Amino acid sequence: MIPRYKMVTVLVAVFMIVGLSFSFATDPAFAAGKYKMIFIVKSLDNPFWDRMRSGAEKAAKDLDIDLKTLAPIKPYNVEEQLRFMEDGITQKVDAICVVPADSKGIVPGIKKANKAGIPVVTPNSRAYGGKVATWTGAQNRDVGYDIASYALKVLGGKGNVIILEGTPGNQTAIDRKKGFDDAIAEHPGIKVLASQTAKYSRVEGMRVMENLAQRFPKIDLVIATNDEMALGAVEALDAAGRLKETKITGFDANNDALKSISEGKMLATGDQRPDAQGYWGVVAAYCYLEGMPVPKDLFLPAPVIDASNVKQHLK
Amino acid sequence: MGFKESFLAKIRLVPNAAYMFLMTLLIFAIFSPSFLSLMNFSNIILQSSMIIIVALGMTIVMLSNGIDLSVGSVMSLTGVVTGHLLASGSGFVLSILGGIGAGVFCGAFNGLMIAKVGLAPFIATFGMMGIADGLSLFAAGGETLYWEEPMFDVIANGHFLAVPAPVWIISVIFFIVYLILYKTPFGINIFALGGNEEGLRLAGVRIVRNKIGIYILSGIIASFAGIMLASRIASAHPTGGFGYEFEAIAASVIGGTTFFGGRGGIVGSVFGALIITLIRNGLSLLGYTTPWQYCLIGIILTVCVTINTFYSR
Amino acid sequence: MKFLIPYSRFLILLVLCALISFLSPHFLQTSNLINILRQAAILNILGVGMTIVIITGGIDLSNGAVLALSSCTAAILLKDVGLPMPVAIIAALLIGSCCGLINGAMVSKVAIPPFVITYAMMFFTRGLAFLLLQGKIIYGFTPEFRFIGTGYIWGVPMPIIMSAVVTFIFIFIQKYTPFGSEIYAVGADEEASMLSGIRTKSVVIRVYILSGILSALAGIVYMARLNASEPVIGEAFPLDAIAAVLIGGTPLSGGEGGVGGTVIGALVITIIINAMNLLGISSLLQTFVLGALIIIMISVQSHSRRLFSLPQIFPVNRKAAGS
Repeated sequence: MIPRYKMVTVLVAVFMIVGLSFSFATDPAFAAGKYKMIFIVKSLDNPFWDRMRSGAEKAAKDLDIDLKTLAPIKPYNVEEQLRFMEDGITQKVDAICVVPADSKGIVPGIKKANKAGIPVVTPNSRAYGGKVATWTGAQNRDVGYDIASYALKVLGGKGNVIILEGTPGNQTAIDRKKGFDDAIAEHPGIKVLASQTAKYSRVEGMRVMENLAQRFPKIDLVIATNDEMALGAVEALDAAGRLKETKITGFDANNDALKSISEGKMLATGDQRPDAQGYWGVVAAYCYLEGMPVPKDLFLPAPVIDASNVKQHLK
Repeated sequence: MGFKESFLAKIRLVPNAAYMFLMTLLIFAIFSPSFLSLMNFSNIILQSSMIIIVALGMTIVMLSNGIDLSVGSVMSLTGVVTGHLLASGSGFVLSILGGIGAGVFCGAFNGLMIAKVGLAPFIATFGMMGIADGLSLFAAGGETLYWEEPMFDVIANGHFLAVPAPVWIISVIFFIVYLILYKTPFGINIFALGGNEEGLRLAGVRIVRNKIGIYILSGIIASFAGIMLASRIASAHPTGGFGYEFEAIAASVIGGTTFFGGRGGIVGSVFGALIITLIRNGLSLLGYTTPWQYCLIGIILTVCVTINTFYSR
Repeated sequence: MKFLIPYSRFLILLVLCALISFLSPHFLQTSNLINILRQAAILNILGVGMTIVIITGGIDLSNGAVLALSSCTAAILLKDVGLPMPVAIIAALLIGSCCGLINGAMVSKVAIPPFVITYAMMFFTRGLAFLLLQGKIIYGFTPEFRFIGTGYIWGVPMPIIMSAVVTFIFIFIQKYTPFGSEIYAVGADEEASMLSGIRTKSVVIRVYILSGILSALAGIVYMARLNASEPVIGEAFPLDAIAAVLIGGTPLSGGEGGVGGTVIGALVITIIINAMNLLGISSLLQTFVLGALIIIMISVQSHSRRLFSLPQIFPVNRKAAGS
């Protein structure tokens, strides 16, 4: 039996070599930029965040900032975001951009950053507390309202509607649905057949749509709180040959949703322009650090995209 | 025995997980300048507080040859119950008691299903995971709860004698668990259930009662973790505890506890939990983005457990 | 009524269906039933792999992540690199078998507990999938490829056919091949199996490789049905697959049970979700309903088992008497 200490030493040595090569070859720690920042998004499970990351990284490149993007391993987990903020404070970053997975839950982290004198920017979602330099974006509820109003208008103000909800407990999903509900409330001719969760997932959207299609022979409109579920619903209805008679809207303006709109399969989506939110969030942090005045709220208009303007958004 | 022999004998008693913990610590300290700071160690303690607590509870269950998959959902439910009570102004003590009550309720239900109805622990607690999760969502109305109660913030953020409050709380819980496991007949039964349940039954021990007690204990400990979480993020999210059950199991297994019951220890589980947190913290400080963190966590876990396995043969 | 006991699982399924059809007239529509079979297909394929792993006394938490990695790889090969369909599919299956090989080797040769190595593998493969696709989604495959997920043969949807084929192959393996008996033997008593000449390490490795291959296959069907592939898919699959296996009557301790039961388990889970949509059950309570129903059903099943100590539906190598 190999003595314990020898085994441990060998393994440590192997580990160090592996770690060293990984560390320097692929994903180096902060290089030398004028400012160091971390950008914390909500999760990795949606291309929405990837677009935000590329927007943020573009700003970082333009302004010579060292930016690291982090996302919680458990999606939308605010405690992990808190950890990233704490780690950022430990590393003495110059600024923290964080998209709060929970507007209240992130406040302890913001307060810690405030105490350490590190400015905090919150793109996309607000934080209900702490001192935040700026917020960029569009209100989920408002964009949801716009999409739903548009769709209801296309329907002529009457028809059967199904709502696909997001992950239960998710604030974004709740806000977007509120927008839908508000729009529906203004159209008494609209009947909501069902409001079910498809957990923000494409495969669940497909499954739920298949199941609901069994129950309701006539569905005029499906409004989903994100594109993934909407696209799943598209596949389900397409396979059942019912796509022609049902309009479907999503939210997020993901690339395949745009493609789907241009093909006439989806009706509309809302573009919160996450790349712009990311970009301007980083820029705002930079301006703050440079001592320039920064507005508290940076509203970025979020257009509803349908067949008429989809071409200019398609990449 | 000479001094050297007795010293080596004492070292052999220290769980492998402790060595792995030191090893991980060293590696990150070498690679990352900001790792070795008081602030970071303070953070690590705060960041690991929930998982250490849950791991302690999971170890108890695993020692009895069981498993409790519901701890994450119980954490969420506890947070929601405590949150409701705090938000409605019930005060610090009552809210915490209410939260713990949720843990007792879920644990008792688990225990009854496993001991009386005879369900396999995996399935019973898997079902409870869904039940508690649904109850939590329903009770919270699908939204996050928050409140104003400065005393509650102290749990995760306060200090006593310059030591962070979570350290005190974890130490107390550890001490109590230690007492239960090693100084009470109940503790002996826990180990025995894991090693030789049939023998215990033949010896006349009331198996049902003991099993229910084990799962109630697991539920209570999970609720402690839920309260700690709620205090840390100053809010109660209806699915905030999601995923902790697997981390707790991993921490226990890294710490040397096996699925076959009867062997293992709570000290190892604490180190296992610390290792998991350390890895996440270290990788984050080193600037690894999340996809790389996934890969490296997988590799490091494998290395740790391989070492463990080699040394226990 | 005693003769009905061996069929307790079927009975529970029937009772469940009867109850739901009472509550919702749409449940028994042909199109709904076909939907259910189709939705259950992927879970079933994964469940078959999980079953044989569990019978050997192990567990595979990595099947969802392996599904994601193999389907992402296939997606890239199909769309970005432009390789033909068979190549992409074989590549996916190869990745699945490699992951399975690592799992199996670590479990059998290094004696790492299956829970931990597959948990670590889950992280590792998920990370690789993210690194591969960099947060993007690949969508839009050729109609030939999509046929695997959306096509019909003799009026039966492809996913159902694939899941049925997989199920029958593995029922055959577990009933009529030496490998099948070896799987049960290893799960029942590894030491005794080794002493009686079975190459237990090889059995374990093969079982995990098969699980990996089936995960990859499920990944192919998944992406063909959804017309897209992304790194996050399959997070819920390990637990769902394990639940399907356990509901189907294969215990975690191994050595008993079978693939046939898992089919029922997968159907039960899918039917409950279908019913919740049909009945419009609030999104907040859906996990509650699923958890409660699973407990109720298994309680009923195990109660009848304990009362009458039934033989399994499919013949099995039992543990030696008195062990």
